Amino acid sequence: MSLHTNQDRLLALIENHKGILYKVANAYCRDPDDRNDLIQEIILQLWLSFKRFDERNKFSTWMYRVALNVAISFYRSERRRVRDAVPIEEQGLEIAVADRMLEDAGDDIRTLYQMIGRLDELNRALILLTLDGYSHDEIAAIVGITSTNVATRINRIKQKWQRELASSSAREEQS
Amino acid sequence: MNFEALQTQWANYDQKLEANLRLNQKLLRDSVLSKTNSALQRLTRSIVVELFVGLATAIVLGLFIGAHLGEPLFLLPAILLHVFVIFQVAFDGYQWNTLRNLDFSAPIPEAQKKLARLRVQRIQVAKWTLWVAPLLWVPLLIVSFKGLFGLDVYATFSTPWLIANVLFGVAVIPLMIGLSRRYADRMNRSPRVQRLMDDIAGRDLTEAKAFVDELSNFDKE
Repeated sequence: MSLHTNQDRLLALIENHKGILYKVANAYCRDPDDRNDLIQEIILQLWLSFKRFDERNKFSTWMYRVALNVAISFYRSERRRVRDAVPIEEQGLEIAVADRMLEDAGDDIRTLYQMIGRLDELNRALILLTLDGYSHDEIAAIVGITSTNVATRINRIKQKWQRELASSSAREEQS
Repeated sequence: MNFEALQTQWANYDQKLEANLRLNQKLLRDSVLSKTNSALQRLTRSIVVELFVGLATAIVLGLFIGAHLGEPLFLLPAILLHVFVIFQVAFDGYQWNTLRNLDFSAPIPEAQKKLARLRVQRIQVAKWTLWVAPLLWVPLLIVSFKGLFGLDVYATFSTPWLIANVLFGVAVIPLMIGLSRRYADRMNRSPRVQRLMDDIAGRDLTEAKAFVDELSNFDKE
């Protein structure tokens, strides 16, 4: 299959799950320039890894795995590659639109992103997948740990967040 | 507000995000994919040039060794440099090859462990290179003067001068470590300099090893 046909196929698949790019980038990078770099890095790795994609699997789960692996390594600043800096407006993904949507989504979603940002990079991956509605078994398959491990970790995060949310509500009521 | 309520809000937000977020496929193909691919090719070229220079140096040193087999005063410094250069070339080649073949679609603990171990190795090698480099200054002087100009450093410079240089190299090592530990956090510097200072001080190494442990726990728990 030609290079262009493969690129078109990949881009068409990314089109159907483009929200993953924004959600993962937003969960791992607060700085807009870093976020832009991370999205480029994810797209590049999706392209480089596309030859390994098995059509029998769901593209979204494969895309999530690549995106999370890139985000974790990017977050740890290990593989900052020297590359052409592509200006944000030329990148092809309308991040500004997504940012405006985040502004309009309300305090709860912004608080949620903040709480995700406070988790370590591995737990961030688990919670993003949980919020996107993946089951423990699916998360286990994407991340590569056992289902029990996923369940334990998710429960811990939920309990921690419930405590945080309860104490912030209590503070709001007092003030 | 509980987790389930947040999850519902997230689902609504996600639906709107997918519906409203625009991906310009033509722009993406023309800019990101083509530019990043060419940048990757340039990166590969720069690594190949680096490897080529290292290999050429190793060959020149090998020829020097061959020509001075009966002269231990020149042979030993050349062997030291040769071992150093061969190790660096081999390690650069190994890192490049491992990174090039790294599968980002592999399970997260597996891919991240490979990356974290590579990082540990890189920092360890960088640290030891920086520690050993001052000691190689005198062998480099001896070999390059002899090889490039046919000058005998032992005859040109006095023995106390050479000994003083070796001792200076030894003294520089703890000084470098001390300075990097003291000033690594304070200096306003480029990421490259910051990485160098952190490597000397061993900060990144501790952090990288901790992440390998964290990944192992993440895997097992």
